[in-house]
Amino acid sequence: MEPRLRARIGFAILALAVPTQFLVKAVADEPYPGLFMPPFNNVTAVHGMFSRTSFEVTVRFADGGHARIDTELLLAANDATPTSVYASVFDTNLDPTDPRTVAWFRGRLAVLFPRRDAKTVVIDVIRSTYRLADRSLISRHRVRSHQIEVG
Amino acid sequence: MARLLAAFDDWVARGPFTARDLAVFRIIFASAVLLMLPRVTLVAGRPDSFLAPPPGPFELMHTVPSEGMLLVLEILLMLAAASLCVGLFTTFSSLALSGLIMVNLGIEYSFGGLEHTIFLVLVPLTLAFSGWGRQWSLDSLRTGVTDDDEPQWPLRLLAAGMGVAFVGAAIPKMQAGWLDPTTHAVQGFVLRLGIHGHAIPMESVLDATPGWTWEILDVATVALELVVVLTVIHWPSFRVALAVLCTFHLGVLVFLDISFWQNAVAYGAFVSWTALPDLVRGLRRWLMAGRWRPSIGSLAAIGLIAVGTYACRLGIVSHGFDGGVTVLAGLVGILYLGSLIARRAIVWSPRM
Repeated sequence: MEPRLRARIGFAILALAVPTQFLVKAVADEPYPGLFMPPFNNVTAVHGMFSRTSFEVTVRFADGGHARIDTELLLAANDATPTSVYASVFDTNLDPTDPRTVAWFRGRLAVLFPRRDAKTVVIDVIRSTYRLADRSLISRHRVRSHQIEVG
Repeated sequence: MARLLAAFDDWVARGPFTARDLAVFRIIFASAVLLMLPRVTLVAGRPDSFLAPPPGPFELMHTVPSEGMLLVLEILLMLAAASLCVGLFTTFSSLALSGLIMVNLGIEYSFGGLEHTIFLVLVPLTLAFSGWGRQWSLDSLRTGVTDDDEPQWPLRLLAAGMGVAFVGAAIPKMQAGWLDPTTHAVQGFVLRLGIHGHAIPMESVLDATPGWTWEILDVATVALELVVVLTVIHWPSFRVALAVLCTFHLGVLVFLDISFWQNAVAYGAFVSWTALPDLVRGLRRWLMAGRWRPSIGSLAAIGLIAVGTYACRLGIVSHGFDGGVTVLAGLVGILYLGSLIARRAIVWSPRM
């Protein structure tokens, strides 16, 4: 095939793919694969205030004690893991009663706390709001909480 | 219609890229993939209930692949990258590598987090047809074909794809209120993503930065992302856009602690690598001849280089190996822009 024809086909594919991917994004969500760079569309600094969401994971043990655990450590993730994975796994797409989810938490806790008998995992979704001017904390509250019974 | 097609054919065929430039980039790109692509086996062991794939082919994946399957995918990817690096069966290796990167990253992105690394897929997909394996390759030894008359259209297609991707970033920003003066999007992201673990006292930076600066950064980010696609029509302008983007990515690394090393590597497709030795020799001759005289342009260039070097140092301190690549690209971008300022003119060459 001559280069001229290849070029036309290449650009024709691009011309078809572009409206298709924008249409999919409009009706569903950002597709993959798709020609997109980061949207950064969750603007958090508005009217002089700034807010952020964080996760606090607490493990309660059969002996009555408890321990805080880092989400990155719990997920066995690394720096390359997209940050939005944490929101999905520990909040938006979490089904605390799904047996597969429960089994996974049980397995991870057995690795992380081999000598303790974990009973419950509590994931608190925390919303903190700060003043932009001096970054002072205005409010901090639990938006919701998930409880996974592993013991 | 025929005239329009002829003009299009003429436009896509224009370009300064040689087979040797592309061969150097082929080796750089494949090496970067070999060294820096994250391992997909990281997701092994996650339960199927965690799956939340984005719209597209990965919605068909209802179970998390086994560790063995993930390992096979990783090994195939490494083989394709190694084969591309040495230029063996280059067209096939390029297409295979594109598909394998897409699959490996697609699996990783099927847990509710989508990163924007599509240029890693797009580069080998388009450049498979560029003849980037015709020089400095096993293919050239095997087939004896080493001609330097390379089709330029794959580069133009790659550039167009990049431009579209940035438009895809700008539109949601505008919809989310980046241009609204009551929001300071960049400031919010600096606070949320970049304030911890930095080599620079970020609090001091935030305190010293007036509010209108944040709004300018919001508007400038959106403007840059919209402009890239327009520059695709003219190679010198596109290279300026890439230099600005490299500087932009350096800023993102320093202030948000996010390394877009994938983009930094992909932009290397548009560098005339084989001109570098001539550039260095010319610079040395110019300096030895003692022709330099202080001027606003040259002093501005020196200032840019100084600021850029300091930013690079901070970026390397706070980030790792992939941060180093982003920093290097940022430094090259600053040097390129600095040289343009020093010359005080961008030469407009319509035939490029």
